[in-house]
Amino acid sequence: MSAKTFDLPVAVTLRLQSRSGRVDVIAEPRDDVEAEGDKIESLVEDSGATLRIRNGSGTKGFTVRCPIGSDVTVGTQSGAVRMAGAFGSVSVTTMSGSIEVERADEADLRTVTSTVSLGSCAGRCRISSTSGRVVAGDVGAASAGTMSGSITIGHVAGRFKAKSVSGSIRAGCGGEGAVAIKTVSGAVHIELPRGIEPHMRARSLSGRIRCDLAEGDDMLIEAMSVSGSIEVVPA
Amino acid sequence: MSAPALAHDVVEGTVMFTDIVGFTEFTALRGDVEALSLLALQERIVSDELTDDARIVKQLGDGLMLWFGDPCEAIRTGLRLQERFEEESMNIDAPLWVRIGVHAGRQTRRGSDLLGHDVNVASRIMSLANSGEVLASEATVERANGGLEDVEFEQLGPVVMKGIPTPINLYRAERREA
Repeated sequence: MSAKTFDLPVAVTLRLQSRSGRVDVIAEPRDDVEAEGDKIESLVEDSGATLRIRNGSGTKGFTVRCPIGSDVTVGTQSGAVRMAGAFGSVSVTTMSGSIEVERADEADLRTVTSTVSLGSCAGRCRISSTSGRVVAGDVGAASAGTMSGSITIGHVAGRFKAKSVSGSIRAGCGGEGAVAIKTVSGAVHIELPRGIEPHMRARSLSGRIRCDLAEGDDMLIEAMSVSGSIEVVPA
Repeated sequence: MSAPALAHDVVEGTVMFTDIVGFTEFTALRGDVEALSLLALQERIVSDELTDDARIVKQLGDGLMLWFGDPCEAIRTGLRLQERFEEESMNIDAPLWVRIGVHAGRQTRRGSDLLGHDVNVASRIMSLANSGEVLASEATVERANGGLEDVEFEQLGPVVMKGIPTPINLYRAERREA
Protein backbone atom coordinates (compact mmCIF):
# COMPACT_ATOMS: atom_id res chain seq x y z
CA MET A 1 0.00 0.00 0.00
CA SER A 2 1.15 3.53 -0.69
CA ALA A 3 -0.24 6.97 0.07
CA LYS A 4 -0.03 10.29 -1.75
CA THR A 5 -1.17 13.73 -0.77
CA PHE A 6 -2.22 16.36 -3.29
CA ASP A 7 -2.35 20.02 -2.38
CA LEU A 8 -5.18 21.74 -4.16
CA PRO A 9 -4.84 25.41 -5.00
CA VAL A 10 -8.44 25.48 -6.17
CA ALA A 11 -11.38 23.12 -5.96
CA VAL A 12 -11.01 20.35 -8.49
CA THR A 13 -13.06 17.48 -9.78
CA LEU A 14 -11.67 14.15 -8.69
CA ARG A 15 -11.77 11.25 -11.12
CA LEU A 16 -10.99 8.00 -9.39
CA GLN A 17 -10.35 4.70 -11.12
CA SER A 18 -9.86 1.26 -9.69
CA ARG A 19 -10.32 -2.04 -11.45
CA SER A 20 -11.16 -4.11 -8.42
CA GLY A 21 -11.18 -3.92 -4.66
CA ARG A 22 -13.18 -1.69 -2.38
CA VAL A 23 -13.14 2.06 -2.93
CA ASP A 24 -13.73 4.38 0.02
CA VAL A 25 -14.09 8.10 -0.52
CA ILE A 26 -14.38 10.26 2.56
CA ALA A 27 -15.37 13.92 2.46
CA GLU A 28 -14.08 15.65 5.57
CA PRO A 29 -12.85 19.06 6.73
CA ARG A 30 -9.53 19.40 4.90
CA ASP A 31 -8.00 21.36 2.03
CA ASP A 32 -5.99 18.66 0.33
CA VAL A 33 -6.63 15.21 -1.09
CA GLU A 34 -5.04 12.09 0.28
CA ALA A 35 -5.10 8.81 -1.61
CA GLU A 36 -4.05 5.47 -0.23
CA GLY A 37 -3.91 2.38 -2.38
CA ASP A 38 -1.75 0.14 -4.49
CA LYS A 39 0.65 1.76 -7.00
CA ILE A 40 -1.25 5.02 -7.16
CA GLU A 41 -0.90 7.07 -10.34
CA SER A 42 -2.15 10.60 -10.76
CA LEU A 43 -2.61 13.11 -13.52
CA VAL A 44 -3.79 16.71 -13.56
CA GLU A 45 -6.10 17.41 -16.51
CA ASP A 46 -8.27 20.16 -17.94
CA SER A 47 -5.78 22.90 -17.07
CA GLY A 48 -5.78 21.92 -13.45
CA ALA A 49 -9.52 21.57 -13.04
CA THR A 50 -9.44 17.79 -12.78
CA LEU A 51 -7.27 15.48 -10.73
CA ARG A 52 -7.30 11.91 -11.95
CA ILE A 53 -6.13 9.27 -9.49
CA ARG A 54 -5.80 5.66 -10.53
CA ASN A 55 -5.37 2.76 -8.19
CA GLY A 56 -3.03 -0.02 -9.33
CA SER A 57 -4.20 -3.36 -10.59
CA GLY A 58 -4.18 -5.03 -7.18
CA THR A 59 -7.29 -5.91 -5.27
CA LYS A 60 -6.26 -4.02 -2.15
CA GLY A 61 -8.52 -1.24 -1.00
CA PHE A 62 -8.38 2.28 -2.37
CA THR A 63 -9.15 5.10 0.05
CA VAL A 64 -9.38 8.76 -0.88
CA ARG A 65 -9.96 11.61 1.57
CA CYS A 66 -11.08 14.90 0.10
CA PRO A 67 -12.62 18.25 1.12
CA ILE A 68 -16.31 18.44 1.91
CA GLY A 69 -18.36 19.33 -1.16
CA SER A 70 -15.90 17.84 -3.66
CA ASP A 71 -17.15 16.78 -7.07
CA VAL A 72 -16.12 13.16 -7.54
CA THR A 73 -16.45 10.55 -10.27
CA VAL A 74 -15.55 6.95 -9.55
CA GLY A 75 -15.17 4.16 -12.05
CA THR A 76 -14.51 0.58 -11.04
CA GLN A 77 -15.23 -2.84 -12.42
CA SER A 78 -15.93 -4.98 -9.41
CA GLY A 79 -15.21 -3.18 -6.17
CA ALA A 80 -17.79 -1.82 -3.80
CA VAL A 81 -17.81 1.97 -3.62
CA ARG A 82 -18.55 3.72 -0.33
CA MET A 83 -18.71 7.49 -0.13
CA ALA A 84 -18.98 8.93 3.37
CA GLY A 85 -19.71 12.57 4.08
CA ALA A 86 -21.14 15.39 1.99
CA PHE A 87 -20.15 15.68 -1.66
CA GLY A 88 -20.96 18.00 -4.53
CA SER A 89 -21.70 16.32 -7.83
CA VAL A 90 -21.08 12.57 -7.70
CA SER A 91 -20.90 10.05 -10.51
CA VAL A 92 -20.19 6.41 -9.77
CA THR A 93 -20.18 3.62 -12.32
CA THR A 94 -19.31 0.04 -11.53
CA MET A 95 -20.02 -3.19 -13.32
CA SER A 96 -20.54 -5.42 -10.31
CA GLY A 97 -19.80 -3.57 -7.09
CA SER A 98 -22.35 -2.06 -4.77
CA ILE A 99 -22.57 1.72 -4.36
CA GLU A 100 -23.28 3.60 -1.15
CA VAL A 101 -23.30 7.40 -1.04
CA GLU A 102 -24.14 9.29 2.12
CA ARG A 103 -24.91 12.77 0.79
CA ALA A 104 -24.52 14.61 -2.50
CA ASP A 105 -25.77 17.72 -4.25
CA GLU A 106 -26.30 15.75 -7.47
CA ALA A 107 -25.71 12.11 -8.22
CA ASP A 108 -25.47 9.65 -11.09
CA LEU A 109 -25.01 6.17 -9.69
CA ARG A 110 -25.06 3.06 -11.84
CA THR A 111 -24.13 -0.55 -11.35
CA VAL A 112 -25.03 -3.68 -13.22
CA THR A 113 -25.39 -6.32 -10.56
CA SER A 114 -25.38 -4.77 -7.11
CA THR A 115 -27.29 -2.56 -4.75
CA VAL A 116 -27.23 1.23 -4.90
CA SER A 117 -27.88 3.23 -1.78
CA LEU A 118 -28.09 7.02 -1.56
CA GLY A 119 -28.68 8.72 1.77
CA SER A 120 -29.74 12.14 0.56
CA CYS A 121 -29.38 14.32 -2.49
CA ALA A 122 -30.33 17.97 -2.55
CA GLY A 123 -30.72 18.11 -6.33
CA ARG A 124 -31.34 15.62 -9.08
CA CYS A 125 -30.23 12.03 -8.80
CA ARG A 126 -30.12 9.35 -11.42
CA ILE A 127 -29.77 5.83 -10.07
CA SER A 128 -29.73 2.50 -11.82
CA SER A 129 -28.96 -1.12 -11.23
CA THR A 130 -29.72 -3.99 -13.51
CA SER A 131 -30.31 -6.69 -10.94
CA GLY A 132 -29.68 -4.98 -7.63
CA ARG A 133 -31.88 -2.89 -5.41
CA VAL A 134 -32.05 0.89 -5.46
CA VAL A 135 -32.60 2.61 -2.14
CA ALA A 136 -32.58 6.35 -1.50
CA GLY A 137 -33.61 8.61 1.35
CA ASP A 138 -34.49 12.24 0.81
CA VAL A 139 -33.86 13.48 -2.73
CA GLY A 140 -34.70 16.57 -4.76
CA ALA A 141 -35.68 14.87 -8.00
CA ALA A 142 -35.06 11.31 -9.04
CA SER A 143 -34.80 9.09 -12.04
CA ALA A 144 -34.35 5.43 -11.15
CA GLY A 145 -34.22 2.24 -13.15
CA THR A 146 -33.81 -1.46 -12.44
CA MET A 147 -34.66 -4.72 -14.08
CA SER A 148 -35.22 -7.24 -11.31
CA GLY A 149 -34.30 -5.12 -8.34
CA SER A 150 -36.71 -3.01 -6.35
CA ILE A 151 -36.70 0.78 -6.13
CA THR A 152 -37.43 2.39 -2.77
CA ILE A 153 -37.18 6.12 -2.26
CA GLY A 154 -38.15 7.70 1.02
CA HIS A 155 -39.02 11.15 -0.23
CA VAL A 156 -38.79 12.83 -3.62
CA ALA A 157 -39.49 16.53 -3.44
CA GLY A 158 -39.74 17.16 -7.19
CA ARG A 159 -40.03 15.17 -10.36
CA PHE A 160 -39.84 11.38 -10.07
CA LYS A 161 -39.31 8.96 -12.92
CA ALA A 162 -38.85 5.24 -12.41
CA LYS A 163 -38.78 2.14 -14.55
CA SER A 164 -38.47 -1.44 -13.47
CA VAL A 165 -39.05 -4.75 -15.14
CA SER A 166 -40.03 -7.04 -12.28
CA GLY A 167 -38.92 -5.08 -9.24
CA SER A 168 -41.36 -3.14 -7.10
CA ILE A 169 -41.34 0.66 -7.01
CA ARG A 170 -42.14 2.48 -3.76
CA ALA A 171 -41.72 6.18 -3.17
CA GLY A 172 -42.98 9.00 -1.07
CA CYS A 173 -43.46 12.03 -3.29
CA GLY A 174 -43.78 15.63 -2.23
CA GLY A 175 -46.35 16.49 -4.84
CA GLU A 176 -44.28 19.29 -6.35
CA GLY A 177 -43.19 17.44 -9.47
CA ALA A 178 -44.69 15.07 -11.99
CA VAL A 179 -44.42 11.34 -11.40
CA ALA A 180 -43.84 8.92 -14.29
CA ILE A 181 -43.66 5.22 -13.53
CA LYS A 182 -43.32 2.25 -15.85
CA THR A 183 -43.04 -1.38 -14.91
CA VAL A 184 -43.68 -4.74 -16.51
CA SER A 185 -44.60 -6.85 -13.50
CA GLY A 186 -43.45 -4.93 -10.46
CA ALA A 187 -45.91 -3.48 -7.97
CA VAL A 188 -46.05 0.32 -7.76
CA HIS A 189 -46.79 2.13 -4.51
CA ILE A 190 -46.70 5.92 -4.42
CA GLU A 191 -47.47 7.99 -1.35
CA LEU A 192 -48.48 11.63 -1.60
CA PRO A 193 -49.12 14.24 1.06
CA ARG A 194 -52.71 14.37 2.25
CA GLY A 195 -54.68 17.05 0.45
CA ILE A 196 -52.89 16.69 -2.84
CA GLU A 197 -55.27 15.99 -5.70
CA PRO A 198 -53.34 14.39 -8.53
CA HIS A 199 -54.31 14.06 -12.14
CA MET A 200 -53.72 10.37 -12.72
CA ARG A 201 -53.16 8.69 -16.04
CA ALA A 202 -52.67 5.03 -15.25
CA ARG A 203 -53.04 1.95 -17.37
CA SER A 204 -52.29 -1.68 -16.81
CA LEU A 205 -53.09 -4.72 -18.91
CA SER A 206 -53.81 -7.00 -15.98
CA GLY A 207 -52.70 -5.23 -12.83
CA ARG A 208 -54.97 -3.56 -10.30
CA ILE A 209 -55.09 0.25 -10.29
CA ARG A 210 -56.04 2.14 -7.15
CA CYS A 211 -55.90 5.80 -6.21
CA ASP A 212 -57.09 6.81 -2.75
CA LEU A 213 -56.79 10.53 -3.37
CA ALA A 214 -59.36 12.79 -4.91
CA GLU A 215 -58.76 13.50 -8.57
CA GLY A 216 -57.57 16.99 -9.37
CA ASP A 217 -54.82 18.77 -11.19
CA ASP A 218 -52.29 19.53 -8.48
CA MET A 219 -49.77 17.28 -10.17
CA LEU A 220 -49.54 14.65 -12.89
CA ILE A 221 -49.02 10.96 -12.26
CA GLU A 222 -48.40 8.77 -15.30
CA ALA A 223 -48.13 5.08 -14.56
CA MET A 224 -48.05 2.12 -16.88
CA SER A 225 -47.67 -1.56 -16.13
CA VAL A 226 -48.21 -4.82 -17.91
CA SER A 227 -49.20 -6.92 -14.91
CA GLY A 228 -48.00 -5.04 -11.86
CA SER A 229 -50.47 -3.30 -9.55
CA ILE A 230 -50.44 0.48 -9.27
CA GLU A 231 -51.53 2.23 -6.12
CA VAL A 232 -51.41 5.85 -5.06
CA VAL A 233 -52.24 6.52 -1.43
CA PRO A 234 -52.03 9.36 1.07
CA ALA A 235 -48.92 9.36 3.26
CA MET B 1 -20.93 7.88 -48.10
CA SER B 2 -19.19 4.74 -46.96
CA ALA B 3 -16.20 4.69 -44.64
CA PRO B 4 -12.78 4.17 -46.16
CA ALA B 5 -11.46 0.65 -45.90
CA LEU B 6 -8.26 0.64 -43.84
CA ALA B 7 -7.27 -2.86 -44.86
CA HIS B 8 -9.00 -5.74 -46.58
CA ASP B 9 -11.40 -6.33 -43.75
CA VAL B 10 -11.13 -3.38 -41.36
CA VAL B 11 -13.49 -0.41 -41.39
CA GLU B 12 -13.66 2.70 -39.31
CA GLY B 13 -17.04 3.70 -38.01
CA THR B 14 -19.38 3.83 -35.06
CA VAL B 15 -21.16 0.84 -33.61
CA MET B 16 -24.44 1.12 -31.74
CA PHE B 17 -26.11 -1.57 -29.67
CA THR B 18 -29.75 -1.38 -28.69
CA ASP B 19 -31.53 -3.59 -26.19
CA ILE B 20 -35.17 -3.74 -25.15
CA VAL B 21 -35.38 -3.73 -21.37
CA GLY B 22 -37.87 -6.20 -19.94
CA PHE B 23 -38.41 -8.10 -23.14
CA THR B 24 -38.00 -11.54 -21.57
CA GLU B 25 -40.53 -10.78 -18.84
CA PHE B 26 -42.93 -9.24 -21.35
CA THR B 27 -42.69 -12.36 -23.51
CA ALA B 28 -43.39 -14.59 -20.52
CA LEU B 29 -46.43 -12.52 -19.56
CA ARG B 30 -47.92 -11.73 -22.95
CA GLY B 31 -46.70 -14.49 -25.22
CA ASP B 32 -44.63 -14.78 -28.35
CA VAL B 33 -47.00 -13.03 -30.71
CA GLU B 34 -47.03 -9.75 -28.77
CA ALA B 35 -43.29 -10.06 -28.22
CA LEU B 36 -42.68 -10.42 -31.92
CA SER B 37 -44.86 -7.40 -32.59
CA LEU B 38 -42.72 -5.40 -30.20
CA LEU B 39 -39.55 -6.51 -31.99
CA ALA B 40 -41.07 -5.64 -35.34
CA LEU B 41 -42.00 -2.20 -34.04
CA GLN B 42 -38.45 -1.58 -32.84
CA GLU B 43 -37.06 -2.66 -36.19
CA ARG B 44 -39.53 -0.52 -38.13
CA ILE B 45 -38.64 2.57 -36.14
CA VAL B 46 -34.93 1.91 -36.50
CA SER B 47 -35.24 1.34 -40.23
CA ASP B 48 -37.23 4.59 -40.55
CA GLU B 49 -34.53 6.58 -38.79
CA LEU B 50 -31.41 5.14 -40.40
CA THR B 51 -29.66 7.30 -42.94
CA ASP B 52 -28.02 5.96 -46.10
CA ASP B 53 -24.71 5.94 -44.30
CA ALA B 54 -25.87 3.42 -41.70
CA ARG B 55 -27.04 -0.16 -41.59
CA ILE B 56 -28.43 -2.81 -39.28
CA VAL B 57 -25.56 -5.27 -38.87
CA LYS B 58 -27.59 -7.93 -37.13
CA GLN B 59 -30.38 -8.75 -34.72
CA LEU B 60 -29.38 -9.96 -31.29
CA GLY B 61 -32.47 -11.43 -29.64
CA ASP B 62 -34.33 -8.32 -28.51
CA GLY B 63 -31.56 -5.97 -29.54
CA LEU B 64 -29.89 -4.70 -32.64
CA MET B 65 -26.34 -3.98 -33.68
CA LEU B 66 -26.06 -0.96 -35.97
CA TRP B 67 -23.16 0.62 -37.83
CA PHE B 68 -22.70 4.25 -38.84
CA GLY B 69 -20.03 5.85 -40.96
CA ASP B 70 -20.41 9.16 -39.14
CA PRO B 71 -20.23 9.38 -35.32
CA CYS B 72 -22.39 12.53 -35.30
CA GLU B 73 -25.09 10.69 -37.19
CA ALA B 74 -24.84 7.78 -34.75
CA ILE B 75 -25.48 10.06 -31.77
CA ARG B 76 -28.24 11.99 -33.53
CA THR B 77 -29.91 8.76 -34.58
CA GLY B 78 -29.63 7.34 -31.05
CA LEU B 79 -31.42 10.37 -29.64
CA ARG B 80 -34.04 10.35 -32.39
CA LEU B 81 -34.66 6.66 -31.74
CA GLN B 82 -35.21 7.26 -28.04
CA GLU B 83 -37.69 10.02 -28.86
CA ARG B 84 -39.55 7.76 -31.28
CA PHE B 85 -39.55 4.86 -28.81
CA GLU B 86 -40.95 7.17 -26.14
CA GLU B 87 -43.68 8.43 -28.49
CA GLU B 88 -44.67 4.92 -29.52
CA SER B 89 -44.67 3.75 -25.90
CA MET B 90 -47.48 6.20 -25.21
CA ASN B 91 -49.70 4.35 -27.66
CA ILE B 92 -48.99 0.73 -26.88
CA ASP B 93 -49.31 -1.49 -23.84
CA ALA B 94 -45.84 -2.89 -24.18
CA PRO B 95 -42.43 -1.88 -22.88
CA LEU B 96 -40.62 -0.36 -25.80
CA TRP B 97 -37.93 0.70 -23.34
CA VAL B 98 -34.63 0.66 -25.08
CA ARG B 99 -31.11 1.33 -23.89
CA ILE B 100 -28.44 2.38 -26.32
CA GLY B 101 -24.63 2.28 -26.27
CA VAL B 102 -22.37 3.87 -28.89
CA HIS B 103 -18.65 3.58 -29.55
CA ALA B 104 -16.54 4.79 -32.45
CA GLY B 105 -13.46 2.89 -33.56
CA ARG B 106 -12.33 0.19 -35.91
CA GLN B 107 -14.27 -2.92 -36.71
CA THR B 108 -13.24 -6.03 -38.56
CA ARG B 109 -15.56 -7.39 -41.21
CA ARG B 110 -16.58 -11.02 -41.20
CA GLY B 111 -19.00 -11.40 -44.04
CA SER B 112 -21.75 -8.91 -43.26
CA ASP B 113 -20.93 -9.07 -39.55
CA LEU B 114 -18.52 -6.83 -37.65
CA LEU B 115 -16.40 -7.84 -34.73
CA GLY B 116 -13.41 -6.77 -32.70
CA HIS B 117 -12.44 -4.87 -29.58
CA ASP B 118 -14.35 -1.71 -30.45
CA VAL B 119 -17.49 -3.73 -31.05
CA ASN B 120 -17.09 -5.31 -27.61
CA VAL B 121 -16.67 -1.88 -26.03
CA ALA B 122 -19.91 -0.68 -27.62
CA SER B 123 -21.72 -3.68 -26.20
CA ARG B 124 -20.34 -3.06 -22.70
CA ILE B 125 -21.39 0.58 -22.87
CA MET B 126 -24.93 -0.43 -23.75
CA SER B 127 -25.05 -2.67 -20.69
CA LEU B 128 -24.53 0.39 -18.48
CA ALA B 129 -27.26 2.47 -20.07
CA ASN B 130 -30.71 2.88 -18.60
CA SER B 131 -33.72 2.52 -20.79
CA GLY B 132 -34.26 5.78 -22.60
CA GLU B 133 -30.58 6.68 -22.45
CA VAL B 134 -27.88 7.02 -25.06
CA LEU B 135 -24.41 6.47 -23.64
CA ALA B 136 -21.33 7.13 -25.72
CA SER B 137 -17.61 6.66 -25.27
CA GLU B 138 -15.14 9.51 -25.23
CA ALA B 139 -13.80 8.24 -28.56
CA THR B 140 -17.23 8.84 -30.07
CA VAL B 141 -17.55 12.31 -28.59
CA GLU B 142 -14.05 13.26 -29.75
CA ARG B 143 -14.65 12.01 -33.27
CA ALA B 144 -17.89 13.94 -33.39
CA ASN B 145 -15.55 16.88 -32.78
CA GLY B 146 -18.08 19.53 -31.93
CA GLY B 147 -20.35 18.63 -34.82
CA LEU B 148 -23.34 18.20 -32.55
CA GLU B 149 -24.45 21.64 -31.48
CA ASP B 150 -27.88 20.40 -30.53
CA VAL B 151 -26.52 17.72 -28.21
CA GLU B 152 -25.20 17.97 -24.66
CA PHE B 153 -22.80 15.42 -23.25
CA GLU B 154 -22.75 14.81 -19.53
CA GLN B 155 -19.56 13.15 -18.46
CA LEU B 156 -20.09 10.10 -16.28
CA GLY B 157 -16.41 9.47 -15.70
CA PRO B 158 -14.02 6.63 -16.31
CA VAL B 159 -15.53 3.18 -16.30
CA VAL B 160 -13.52 0.01 -15.91
CA MET B 161 -15.24 -2.71 -17.89
CA LYS B 162 -14.85 -6.43 -17.73
CA GLY B 163 -12.46 -7.68 -20.38
CA ILE B 164 -11.54 -4.17 -21.50
CA PRO B 165 -8.00 -3.29 -20.39
CA THR B 166 -8.31 0.50 -20.50
CA PRO B 167 -10.95 2.51 -18.61
CA ILE B 168 -13.49 4.07 -20.92
CA ASN B 169 -14.67 7.61 -20.33
CA LEU B 170 -18.42 7.56 -20.69
CA TYR B 171 -20.80 10.32 -21.63
CA ARG B 172 -24.55 10.57 -21.53
CA ALA B 173 -25.95 12.24 -24.62
CA GLU B 174 -29.01 14.45 -24.33
CA ARG B 175 -30.81 16.77 -26.66
CA ARG B 176 -29.84 20.33 -25.80
CA GLU B 177 -32.86 22.27 -24.63
CA ALA B 178 -33.68 25.25 -26.81
